[in-house]
Amino acid sequence: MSSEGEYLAIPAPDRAQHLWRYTPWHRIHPTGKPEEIPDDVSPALVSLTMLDGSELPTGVSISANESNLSRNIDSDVGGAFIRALSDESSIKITIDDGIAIEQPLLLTLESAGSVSGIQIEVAVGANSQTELLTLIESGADWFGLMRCGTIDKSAIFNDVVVNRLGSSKLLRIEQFTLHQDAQVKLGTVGSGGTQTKGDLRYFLAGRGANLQVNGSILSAGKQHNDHHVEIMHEESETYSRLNWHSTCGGKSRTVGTGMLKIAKGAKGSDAAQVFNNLLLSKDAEADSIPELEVFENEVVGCGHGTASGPVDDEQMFYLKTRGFSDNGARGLLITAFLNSTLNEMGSEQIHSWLDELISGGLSSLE
Amino acid sequence: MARTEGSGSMSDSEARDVVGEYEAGWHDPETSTVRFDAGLSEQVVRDISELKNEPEWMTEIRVKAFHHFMKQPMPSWGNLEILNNIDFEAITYFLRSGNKTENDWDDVPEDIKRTFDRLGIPDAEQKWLGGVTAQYESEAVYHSIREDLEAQGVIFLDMDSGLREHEDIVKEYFCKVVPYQDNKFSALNTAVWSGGSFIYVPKGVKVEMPVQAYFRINAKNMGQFERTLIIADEGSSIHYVEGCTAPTYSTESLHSAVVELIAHKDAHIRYSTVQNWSNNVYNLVTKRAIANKNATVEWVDGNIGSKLTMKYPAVILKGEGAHAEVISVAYAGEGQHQDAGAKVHHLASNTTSKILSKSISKDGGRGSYRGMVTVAKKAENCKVNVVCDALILDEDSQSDTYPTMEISNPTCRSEHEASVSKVSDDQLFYLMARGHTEDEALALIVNGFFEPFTRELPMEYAVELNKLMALEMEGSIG
Repeated sequence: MSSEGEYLAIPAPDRAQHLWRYTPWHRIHPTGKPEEIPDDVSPALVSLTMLDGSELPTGVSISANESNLSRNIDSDVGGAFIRALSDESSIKITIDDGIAIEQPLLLTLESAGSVSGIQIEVAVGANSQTELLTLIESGADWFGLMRCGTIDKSAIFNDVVVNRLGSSKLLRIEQFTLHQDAQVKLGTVGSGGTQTKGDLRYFLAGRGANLQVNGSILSAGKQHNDHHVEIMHEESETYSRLNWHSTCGGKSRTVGTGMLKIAKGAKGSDAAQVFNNLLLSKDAEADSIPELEVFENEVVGCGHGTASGPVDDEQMFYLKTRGFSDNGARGLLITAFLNSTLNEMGSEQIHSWLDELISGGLSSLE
Repeated sequence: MARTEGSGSMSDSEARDVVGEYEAGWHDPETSTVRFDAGLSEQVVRDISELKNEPEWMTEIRVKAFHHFMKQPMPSWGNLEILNNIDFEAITYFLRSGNKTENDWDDVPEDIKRTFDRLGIPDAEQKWLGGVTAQYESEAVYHSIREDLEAQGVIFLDMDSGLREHEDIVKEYFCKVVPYQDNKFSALNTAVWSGGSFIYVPKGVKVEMPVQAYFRINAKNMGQFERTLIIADEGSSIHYVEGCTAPTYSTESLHSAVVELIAHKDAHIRYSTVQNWSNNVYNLVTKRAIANKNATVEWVDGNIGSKLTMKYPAVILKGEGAHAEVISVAYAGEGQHQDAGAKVHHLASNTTSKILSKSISKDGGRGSYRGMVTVAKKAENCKVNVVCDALILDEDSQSDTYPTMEISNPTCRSEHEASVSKVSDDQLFYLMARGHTEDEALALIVNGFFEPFTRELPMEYAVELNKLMALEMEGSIG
C-alpha cells in the first residue's frame, strides 16, 4: 500500500486517548480536514555542520532519501501522515562506532511554502560520543518532523531539538531506542510556532540504558504546546528521568502528558517523571497527565509528579529587597525556572547557546 | 409484569464450596417475595416504579434514563476486557426480600436477620451508631434512627421512604448532582434505582455519632442499584458510613450505585465506605458532592473486594472557601482490578483539596489510580495536593496511575506526586529482627501503609479493616 493509502486507512484517533485529549488530530492537521493530504509540499532544506560552522569530521555522515526510513515507528496517525507527505524527503545521519566528537553537530531544518515535512533517521554507533543540536526554523505554515533513532551499546549521545518556528504549526513524531549501557540526554526547547504537537517515545531496550529527557517550554501569546512523552523500561537496571518545565504566559495553553511504563522483567528499574508549570498570566492554562504503568515489583523506584503555580512571592520579595525591579526579579526567576532543565541539556557549549536563545523570548511572556 | 413471587433457593453447602477464604462469602437461601425476571426493558423500569407507587415525575425520569442508558455506548476507557463482559440481560433488576422496612430487628424476617447478625450490624448499632439502614437485595429491610436525632429534625430514611415522605426535598435535589446523562451507569441507576439512604440534616445540627448503611447482595446474578442522597443544611455536620458484602458465586452480580451529597454553607459531610464485595461483583459507582461556601466534604473510601471497581468520588467546590478531601485505599488481589481515584473541580476562589490514594496489588491483582483535578479560570488562590502511593507485592501484579490536572488560573498552587514500590527489605528485616514472622511483619507494614485511611474510620471499622488486611496478607511471602 502507498504511504498515502496507509494514512487514509487509519481511523481518526479517539480523544479518550490522552495522546489526543487536548489536541485532536484535525486541529494539528495542516488543513483541518483529516481526509486531505496536501499536494503542495515543499521539501525541507537541510544543513549539517559543526556548531562553529566547520566541516563534518570523519566518522559522521549524512545521506539523503534512504528508503523505508522510520517505517517501524509506532506512532499511528501522526507518523503515517508525515510519511505520506515526505516520502521523498528523508535523511540518515550516521555516527560511526567508537568516535568521539568534541564539538556539537548543528542540524538546521528550513523550508518555505505552506507545508513541509522530513523524516530523519539517526544511527549512533557503539561506544561513540556525540552531541546533536537540531534547529527548526521553517518558514512554512506547517512543518512535520519525524525522527527515528538507534543508540547502540555504550554510546553517549546528547540531543537537543529547538523549535524556533514563526507562525507555523509543528507536528513532531519521535522514537528512540537505547541499547545496553547507552547514556542519552534528550532535550526539547520550545519557543516558537503557534501550535506544537509532540509524540515522543523512548525505549530502554538494553540492560543498563540511561535516559534523561528534559524540556524547557516557553509558551506565550496564543501558543498551544502539547507534548506527549512515553518512556518504556523494557530491560533490567535501566534508569530514566523526565523533567519538563513550562512557562505559561499570555493566552497560551501548555500540555504535558506522559507515560512511564515498566515492563515485566525490567527488574531494578529506576524511573521518575516530573512536569512543572509556571503560570504567568491570568489567561494561560496548564494541563498535565503523567501516567504510570508498572508491571514489575522489583523496582528501585518509580514515581511521577506535577506542580503548577505562579512566581513565588517570597522569592520576588527577596530579589526586590536586593535592588531588582519588579520586572527584573520576575524575569530572573522565570529564567532560573527554565534554566533548571536547560542546564541539563548537553555540554556547556550547547547550554550557553540555548541560554541566549531563551533570554530573547522572555519579553513575550506577559 | 415480568416478575415471579416467592421463587428461588440455593443450598448452603453449594455456597460454602465456592466461598473460599472470603469471610462474608456465605449466603442464605433466597426467599424473595417479589423477583423480576432477568433482563432490562422499559416495562421493567415502569414496573419498579409502579410497585413502589412512585409519583409520575419519578417514573418519567426513570424512563428517560433507561432510554439514555440504551443509547449510551460502554465506556471506551478502563479495563474493557472485564467491563465488556457484563451481560445486562442476565441480571435481575429488582428483588424484594421483606414485605416492608422494619424499625425493630425482631420484626425483620428471621433468615435476613441471621445474615445481618453474622455481619455484626445489630451489635454495632447498639454500641456506636446514631442510626442504621440495612439493605438486602433491592430494598431496605431494617431502618432506625436515634430518638434524639429525630427530635432535632434529622431525617434518616431509606430512599424509597424518603421519596414517599419528603417528596418535595427529593424532587429538589434528585439527579441535580449526578444527572442521569452523566455516564452509562448513572443512567442505569436512575432507571432502576431501589433503596439507598436519604438524609437531611437541618441547619446547625451536628450529628455526633456516625449513621450507617449496610448493603448486602444475597442472590445470584443480582443487580443492586441503591441511590443515596444526603443534604447537610447550613452549619450542620454528619458522618455517614457504609459497608458492602455479597456471597461468592461463580456468576457475576452488578452493584451500580449513585450517591449525591449536598453540603450547604459551612456544612461538613464525611462519607466513609468499606467495600468488601465478593470477587464476582462488578462495582461501578458514581459518587459526587457539591460543596457550597466554606463547606467541607470528605470521602473516605476503602475498596477491598469486587472483581472490577470503577469508582472516582468527586467533589465540586462551588462556594468560596470550600474544602474537599478524598482518602482512598484499594487492595487488588487475584482476579481483581481496583480502578479507583478521585475528582475535584475547583470552581470558586480560595478552595482547597487534598487527595491521598494508596493501593496494594497482590497475586496478579491490578490497582489503578485514576483522578482528575480542574481549577477554573475564575477560581483564585486555590490549593491542590494529590499523593498516590502503591505497593506491588509480587511479580504477577500491576499498578497504574492516571492523574489529570487542568489548571486554568495562575494563582493556583497544585502538587501531585505518585510512587510505586515494593515492600522494603529493610523494613521486613527490622521487624523480623524483633521477633515477628515474615507474614506478621508484612501485615504490620501493610497496616501502616493504610494507616492514613484507617485513622479516619470509626474505631470498629478500622479494627475490622486491619483484620481483613491481615487475612488477605496471609501467606504473601515465601
